Amino acid sequence: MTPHRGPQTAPTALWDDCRDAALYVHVPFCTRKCPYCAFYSIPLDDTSLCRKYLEALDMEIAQATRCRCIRTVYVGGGTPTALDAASLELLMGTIRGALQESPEEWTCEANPESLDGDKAALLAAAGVDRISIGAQTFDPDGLRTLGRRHGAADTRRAVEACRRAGIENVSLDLMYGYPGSSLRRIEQDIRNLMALAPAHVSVYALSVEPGTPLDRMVQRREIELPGDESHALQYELLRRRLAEGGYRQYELSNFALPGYRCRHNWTYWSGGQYIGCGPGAHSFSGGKRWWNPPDLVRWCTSVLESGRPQIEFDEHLSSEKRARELLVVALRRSEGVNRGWFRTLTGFDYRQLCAPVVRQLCDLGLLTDQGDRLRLTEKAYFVSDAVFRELI
Amino acid sequence: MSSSPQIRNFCILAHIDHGKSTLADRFLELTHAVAPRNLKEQLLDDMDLERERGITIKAHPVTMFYEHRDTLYQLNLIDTPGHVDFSYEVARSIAACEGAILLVDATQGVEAQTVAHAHLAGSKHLTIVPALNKIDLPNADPERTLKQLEDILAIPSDEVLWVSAKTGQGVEVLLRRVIEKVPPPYTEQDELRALIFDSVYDDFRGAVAYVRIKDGEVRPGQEILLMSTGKRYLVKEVGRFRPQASKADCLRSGDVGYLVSNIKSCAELRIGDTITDAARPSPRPFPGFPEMKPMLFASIYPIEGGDYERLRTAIEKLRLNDSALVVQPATSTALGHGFRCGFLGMLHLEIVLERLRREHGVIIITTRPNVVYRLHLTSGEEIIVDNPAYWPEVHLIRVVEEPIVDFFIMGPRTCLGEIIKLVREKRGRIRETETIDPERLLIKGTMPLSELITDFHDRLKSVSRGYSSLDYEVTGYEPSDLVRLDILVHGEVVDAFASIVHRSQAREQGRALCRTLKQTIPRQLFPVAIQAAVGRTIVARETLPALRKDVTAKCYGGDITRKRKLLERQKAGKKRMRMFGKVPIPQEAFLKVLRGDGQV
Repeated sequence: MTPHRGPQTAPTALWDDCRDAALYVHVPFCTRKCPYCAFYSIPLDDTSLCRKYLEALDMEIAQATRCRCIRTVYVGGGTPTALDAASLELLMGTIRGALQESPEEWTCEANPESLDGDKAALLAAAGVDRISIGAQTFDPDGLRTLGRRHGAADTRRAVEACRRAGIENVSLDLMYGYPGSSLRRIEQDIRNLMALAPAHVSVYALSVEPGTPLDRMVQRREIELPGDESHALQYELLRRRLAEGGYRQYELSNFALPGYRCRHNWTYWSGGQYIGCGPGAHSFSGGKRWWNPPDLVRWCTSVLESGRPQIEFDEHLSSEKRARELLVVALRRSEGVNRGWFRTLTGFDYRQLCAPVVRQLCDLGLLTDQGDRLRLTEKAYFVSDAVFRELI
Repeated sequence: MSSSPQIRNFCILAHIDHGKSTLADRFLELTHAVAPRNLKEQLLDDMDLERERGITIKAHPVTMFYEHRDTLYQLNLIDTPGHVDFSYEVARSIAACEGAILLVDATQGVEAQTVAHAHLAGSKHLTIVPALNKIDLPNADPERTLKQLEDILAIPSDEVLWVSAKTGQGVEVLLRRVIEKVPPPYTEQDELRALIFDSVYDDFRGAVAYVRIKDGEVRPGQEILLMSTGKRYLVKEVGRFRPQASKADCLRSGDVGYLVSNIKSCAELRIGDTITDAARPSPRPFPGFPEMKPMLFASIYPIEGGDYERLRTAIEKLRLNDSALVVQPATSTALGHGFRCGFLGMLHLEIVLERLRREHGVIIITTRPNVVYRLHLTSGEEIIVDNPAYWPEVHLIRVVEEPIVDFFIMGPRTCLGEIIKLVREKRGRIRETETIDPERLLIKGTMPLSELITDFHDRLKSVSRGYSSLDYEVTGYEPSDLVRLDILVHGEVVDAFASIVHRSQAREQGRALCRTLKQTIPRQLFPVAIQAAVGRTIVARETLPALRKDVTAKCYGGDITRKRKLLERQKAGKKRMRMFGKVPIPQEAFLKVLRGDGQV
């Protein structure tokens, strides 16, 4: 499949009766848990559990995609590629079988060490046309600090494998702001990354999630995180170098060559509907948000018993709350928020909804209001939460 | 003319922690004033706060009966606070007694309050019964303590009794010595004169006066007159403390007890006033004691504007029982409506704040405390300023005077250098030093009260590793080059941070305050200037840099709810901070400034 190119328009998506939806499939398995990860995952050592998972997922996806038009698919985790080739093939077959037509984009997350030529080929054959690889860094010390099992060579091999399988749209994740990260190391990472010429790049500051092993290490002062200032400088450097390399920033953490923005994630930032399948997966449809139990056994049991998971949590937002939330999420996009679009989707004018804060933030040079479009200034990117806090 | 040969009125004078309350407990046991099952540590300290902090805050009178040589004696003990902040209470107790036990911890020796109290009691012609306490402890050094008593207070060693209030050793001998040595009360006239030495507020009975009957007698039904106000009231009940209030038919000359009338609040009942009979008034009041004046003032504001009424009710309640607390309404541009309160000292202030929080659950912000200044204006007018907010413009002031104290410090000889340095830093002067024994010195001098109340006591203890004690007395006013130090946050004067400082210290204090605030105020989306100014001159400045990182890197489908809730929570947290112009200042900043954190 060839990646979609050409001008992209923001999908108009917050129609509660719209049938269009993005599908997210959560694969809760990992070979080993990374010390900074707070997502739900379990070690892949019980093959019967994996079989049950695939069985339950088949039921859930079939049920969840009924009467919906799935525009994009995103298989994330955990580590989808941690599954053995047969299971991975089965998983992709399950998804493929539930779709009425080919999605516009189908992404699968992968770890460099678990994506080989065979897996890449079977993913491509199933219809996957975009692979997101968790490279994190090319620096051996950095990878050790992050508890990653792969080396820079694995990342290169994985990218090669995608290309050989015919998947051009490869995204690499880069991490910064972790213990030991530096501007020098970022320059090296960028050089290494450019050499691989991925179509898309996501950059993430390491965030210390409460309860993770990393959090405990920080609490015990075993490791020291770079300060806010160096975080900010690293982010600025990444932005500058990526821009020089032709990557356009289209969201706070995401960069792409023209035509390679991630459509699936765009839906999240545009108030679109999404259906999540698998343990802990979140959904948003018909103005309602809910999520599955973040526990493989509980999720499996309820799906296998009743065909659909027991809902762990759901909420129906008031129209104002929903509008504020959309404003905050949509402002993550570099293009900002179109006033007419926002009014159509929410019924609110953001100037009135957030008066006088919008004006004040503009005066502080953190927002620009160009009449029909509100957006964060570049200066506000790295303090965007402080801006969002005023608007929420 | 002795009216009641079987009565003895006495108090116990001791430095804090020298075992006064424990000794009082032993007396109560010995005289069977309390059943053993009702005994708990430090019986007379009945406020939770008193027991917890091991200090006596209010005077606690108690009447005991004890048979000695076939005569039944009525012993009225008035337990007094030992902390330097409450020395006025000691003065009140002394005025109600004929004798005093001077109790000295044999492990600590003579301390500053021992000397201060002994001098005060001597000047009021009280008979002193000296005693060493804690002689059961292995580190007790009675010989050294006796020598100190002899050298400093001219008390002969053979007059000093040895006791252990903890074990009870020597306590009965001490009680007998009180009976033998302390003179019985005497009366000068027939007309009623009752000295009010304390008051408490009781929900059912209104304001209850604690009285020492000097002359005459008082009983229920009698019409009385308060000599300072000329107001008349009807007596409803009189009684003694055993130690609980116990009704009596009548209180006579020499008695110590309580009096209930139709007086509604403690504010009407001025401590030190004389009660007399309305029909047959005394020609003169009893010479009481100087009215207690608040030494320092601070403003109290509720954190939430809506809590103002709750705060007002809470303060009114406290005032019913604490006539030393002076309260006026106050308004701050920064903090809204609140109260300007006068306190006797830092401990008094701390206790009031603690009680507001603990007993009334009000969350408050307090401004930096300051003393009362006397200003001579260029217009020739003289004004009293107890609030930096009312400090006049510089050009209107001719001379500023501030209260000065005479202090005396007992401290280890080895720390003299450190102590002198501290005193100088606090704008004090040392007048003389006296040798007490090979290890210790008595250091006398003067110092501005404002310097003494901030953190002098704590720092004195720290430079002498805990081996120093302090007492002081306000002696008058002296001219001083004082200025108002304003704090500006992002160009806005935060009136709650204003303070009066000596010109020579303005720059340094300003720097310290700016630094403290820089560490406490959260970073904003813009750089914030924190400045200290005297008049229009900026004397110190810190810049709080703009926020550099406040971002959620990843935000996908799964995180949106969590993210929104986090932002909403943080927004709510920010709303709870007071906004000063565009900058929110957390409560912690006010607390730090009040505590004087980082001050020079």
